[in-house]
Amino acid sequence: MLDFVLNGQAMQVPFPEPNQSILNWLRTDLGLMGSKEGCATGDCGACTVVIGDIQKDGQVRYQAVNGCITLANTLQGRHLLTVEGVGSKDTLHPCQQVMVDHHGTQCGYCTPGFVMSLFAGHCNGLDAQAMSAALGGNLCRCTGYTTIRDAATELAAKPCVMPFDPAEVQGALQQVKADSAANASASPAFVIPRTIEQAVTAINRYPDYKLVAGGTDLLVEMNVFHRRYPGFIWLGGIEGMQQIEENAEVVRFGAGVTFNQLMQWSASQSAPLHALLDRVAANQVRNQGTLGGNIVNASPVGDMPPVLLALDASIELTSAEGVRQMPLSDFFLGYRQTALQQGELLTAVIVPRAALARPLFIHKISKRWEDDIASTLLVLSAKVADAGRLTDIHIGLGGMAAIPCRATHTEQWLQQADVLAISSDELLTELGRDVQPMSDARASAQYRAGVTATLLKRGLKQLCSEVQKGGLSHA
Amino acid sequence: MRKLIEPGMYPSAGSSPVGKAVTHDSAAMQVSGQAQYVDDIPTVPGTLHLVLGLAEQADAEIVSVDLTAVRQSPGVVDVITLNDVPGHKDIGPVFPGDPLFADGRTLYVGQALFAVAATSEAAARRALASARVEYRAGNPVLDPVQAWQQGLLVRPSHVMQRGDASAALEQAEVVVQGQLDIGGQEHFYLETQATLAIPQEDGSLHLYSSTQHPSEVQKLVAEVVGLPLNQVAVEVRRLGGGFGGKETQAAAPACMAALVAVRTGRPVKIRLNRRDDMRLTGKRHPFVGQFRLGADQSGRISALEMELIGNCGCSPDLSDAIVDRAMFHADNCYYLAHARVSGHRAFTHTASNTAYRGFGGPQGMLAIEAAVDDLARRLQLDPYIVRMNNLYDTDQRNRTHYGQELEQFPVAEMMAKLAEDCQYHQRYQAARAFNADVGNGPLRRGIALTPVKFGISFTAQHLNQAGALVHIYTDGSIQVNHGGIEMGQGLYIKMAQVAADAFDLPLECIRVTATRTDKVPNTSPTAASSGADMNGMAVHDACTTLLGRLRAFAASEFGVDASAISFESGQVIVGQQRFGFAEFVQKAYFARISLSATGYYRTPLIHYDRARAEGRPFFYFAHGVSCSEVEVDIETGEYRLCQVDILHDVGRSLNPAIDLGQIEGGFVQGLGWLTTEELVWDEQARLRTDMPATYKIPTIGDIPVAFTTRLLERADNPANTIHRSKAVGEPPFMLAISAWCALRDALADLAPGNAIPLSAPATPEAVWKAARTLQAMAVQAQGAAK
Repeated sequence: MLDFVLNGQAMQVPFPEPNQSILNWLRTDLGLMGSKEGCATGDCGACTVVIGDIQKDGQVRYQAVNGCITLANTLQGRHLLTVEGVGSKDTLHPCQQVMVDHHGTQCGYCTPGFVMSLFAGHCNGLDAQAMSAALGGNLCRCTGYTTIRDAATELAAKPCVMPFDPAEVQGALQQVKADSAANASASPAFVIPRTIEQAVTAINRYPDYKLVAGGTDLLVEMNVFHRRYPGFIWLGGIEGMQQIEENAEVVRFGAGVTFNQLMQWSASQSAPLHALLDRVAANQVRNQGTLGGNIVNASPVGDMPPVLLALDASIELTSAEGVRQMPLSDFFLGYRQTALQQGELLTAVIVPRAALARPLFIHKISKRWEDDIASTLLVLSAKVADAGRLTDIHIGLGGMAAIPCRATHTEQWLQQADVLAISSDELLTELGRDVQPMSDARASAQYRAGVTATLLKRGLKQLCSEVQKGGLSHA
Repeated sequence: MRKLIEPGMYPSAGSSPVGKAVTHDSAAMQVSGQAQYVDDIPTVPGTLHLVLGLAEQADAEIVSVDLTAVRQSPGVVDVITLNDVPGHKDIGPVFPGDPLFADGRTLYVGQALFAVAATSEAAARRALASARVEYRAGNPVLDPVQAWQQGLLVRPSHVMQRGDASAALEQAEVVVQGQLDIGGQEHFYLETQATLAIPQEDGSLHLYSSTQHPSEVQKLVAEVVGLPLNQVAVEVRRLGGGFGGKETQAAAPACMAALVAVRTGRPVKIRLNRRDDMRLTGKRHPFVGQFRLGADQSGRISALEMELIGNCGCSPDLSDAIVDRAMFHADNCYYLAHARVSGHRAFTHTASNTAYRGFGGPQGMLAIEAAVDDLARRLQLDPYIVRMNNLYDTDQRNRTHYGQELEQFPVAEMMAKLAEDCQYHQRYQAARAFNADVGNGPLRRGIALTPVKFGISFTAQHLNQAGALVHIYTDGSIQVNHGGIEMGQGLYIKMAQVAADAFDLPLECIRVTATRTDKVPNTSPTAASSGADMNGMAVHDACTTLLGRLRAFAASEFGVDASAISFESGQVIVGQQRFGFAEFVQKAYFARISLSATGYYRTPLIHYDRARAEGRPFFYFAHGVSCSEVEVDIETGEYRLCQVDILHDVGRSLNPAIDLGQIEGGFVQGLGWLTTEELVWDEQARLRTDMPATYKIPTIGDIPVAFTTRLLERADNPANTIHRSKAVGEPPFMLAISAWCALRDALADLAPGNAIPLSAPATPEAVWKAARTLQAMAVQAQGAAK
């Protein structure tokens, strides 16, 4: 049985079919129709629900996720809050009332998703601006958003009210946690390892089960192409993989670290990375998508690999045989092909402090500013020797080739050059020796190549000039 | 005798709710997830789920379709193709051309080949994978201009003209000539196409359909399954967005579901998934506008020649009227002494393009705005001045190129007012200074203030009619039904306001119920911005009938003069006596007065002689002006919208909150059309932007904080509309043209004197390309000067 809390009520229900998303399960098995399917690909947010996880300190942390790209069985031991649990039409919760008061609904189909994003933002204490920003993954086709932004602004000024008894929920979640620690029987087709060791064992035991971390890519494929799997091994229960550990030499990111965790970390560590993360998907996806998933998927348009490549990252692969480490640059073999072997699990990403200390320039180009995939992503990391001279040049490229890659030829060429005197035409030529970009629905090859050269020139100039100003700073 | 409810349950009304910013009637249900859409309606066990098998090739001969394995797949109950249609196989709404399933040859990638009904959606989708379809590749046509030149048209071309444009162009001091590519647009209603078809005890059908045109769904379903219209009822409570995309496009899925329901005797639900919806259904027409615009050195326009080539896709659908409306709006707000506007309806192997907010108007308007912008650039004048100098007036320059006289034209005042309010002139100069400052590196600023004039009425005359049904119950509560569809635009609350006002009752006394073809028959689609105008008048008419009966009863019952009877603040005043409304209604009931009435409205005065391309196709015009400012990075093409100011004319607003929502929502939808929303087909005619991962509508972050919208004050509609209001659904969409023109303005200083080579949508890539072209032109000009 699935042990979880639904809208403040502890529940035990038969395990959902393993391939089922939360959204599908809510609508077909539980008859809760408030959450809507707008796209089933995590782009529109109409299915947004809030999931509460009990933390080490016993507090429950609530996050908005897309119900359409989250497997229902991941709810084991968690609190699922849907729009039905927030308030009914006669007893509206403040996050609903502000939407009514500011005329933030028109056709209303996206509305439950907005309400849930607002709720999550509200109970996490976001200010008005952050609350609006957290709505970037909720599409509305009717209002033009101004009324919703006004609603968010008013909500941010109100005290947070929980539409359930927090102590009761906390107790219920602790109970489930205790029970499941004692009795590890999850759904046979949905394995939830709690340690890396258990995960590795499960991978060997169920070789045909699909490994899933955040699932934000996997579920999209499942929904769009109706792909089905006999079972899953979900890595979201491994707390040991969700830590960021730092020492004098390296920063070690657990593969299960989410984009939003990274964002929090980067806020004090790297302004350019923080700014990029703000444009990686939208809040709901950032709450789920993991660093490891972004690497293992080997998508040519993943935003993290180009950054990590430019930062000399290496990765840690764990199997029954032990742990091996390899430079990330050796990991990507071809389009969606990696060096990951059967039985192996990506467990951590290691970035040297020295690389993080280098000035960093990142620029992502996409059709839409928020929640869009890069037409091109340029990452430049280098040491500044003196004005016009760079050393240790690392250029990471995304969206340009079949795999995320470094522009190694251009890097070498630049070592010899006075970077401030280079034209973007020259850079275009040199970059052309590293990659031949593609044309697709997002951009033409010509634009990708041209704008990447321009960005590289800009990055080179910025790195040099800012050192002259005495240190890296970003607006 | 039945005891009636105690009268006096309602508080007395304050004043009329008309003109008040009343909340959307569904808002509380929507925010709590209780508002029901078709997919949310509880279904009985045994309900079947329908999914579609879509063509993977365009213009291909279907050599064979093997569905044996599909039929044998677990859970599959029925599989249908065109051969299984007992009645009409073509569901073209006006002209034929839309077979329910592909007929021998595929028209486009994404066309329906067959449908699978199974016990669950998952089972149906699993079954789909085992279909075997063999094609013989064809040669799809994608370029509308090429199609037009080859005579590949879905409907004949049409011309509107006045004077002698080509002679006037010969004499013009300045002629700008250009071609503008205008992209299409996916509706991206959040709720995809959906229908639940439930067979009834007697073989008739009840359908819940997400459609803007229930009467057409009723008709087409009846024709497809072979039933008379009185055996098909279509019910629509609300849509999760329509925008024109559910005017004709809802019919095919509804017909398929109905057919399977008849065949199996079981309820059938179809709800397209997003990708199927984006591949199957038509979109806003992409257009190509070719123009020659003649003017004098001061920028006064003398003549326009324009070819508007609409990319209609694979069938006529509504393209005749859509291209006509583009032609009707090829003047926008500008007086054209000599004009020749031709409209062409090109065939291509894509989904049949269809109605979409503005219905061709935006494309025609964008073409003339591009031409006017080009003219201003050529003359190196502030485009505002050129626009202002060419506006219609209500005196001499007051007749459109199709002969309609403008009775009201407040645009000059509106432009001046908005320019003053948002400091257009100062900001225009500031943008020039900003762009001249090398310290700003690759950043450029642009600003534009553009007007909109939009004609209100269906151009198909017979559609300009509406019906309503109003019941008063014996407790004094009132139920209103009408032919309009609630798709988020607040139609129901506006109708409730109209009814409450008629009886001077509080809004709580009025309930507007789901639109049903068995309550109000033979309805027009809720389209052409006509919902509140026409249904409002029909509701008002029904209320007037009921009030007349109640007055007559009062006069005879109490022997008072009609002038001594009034309905005020929830009370009925009869001479010296006062009754609560419910109390009075009960008296009327006992006196056997009918408390139910129909209402009807047809728009007066409109006529259009298409053969002569002349007449008054529009009852009146709605107007708006907007100003947008942008900042552009010319090295990357990226841009941000910095500020938007809007002044819009909704006549005397029925509900300012609802109207503001329509205006801002329309603007942002138009902004998407002109900026980030790009439809891309590959050479095999496959739509590559068939998911929101690749097709990008605006998000909250695209909207500037500085966004001000005002309604034009003291703006009673001179035409006799419901409470002198004006239609608001479509006109604001075109306000977004100011954002597109602002992007052009940001590039204008790169090569002064040149037209800006920027089409639509102005994606970052398109802006980047335009900037590079202009920079190359400037370099060339410099070289020539040396």
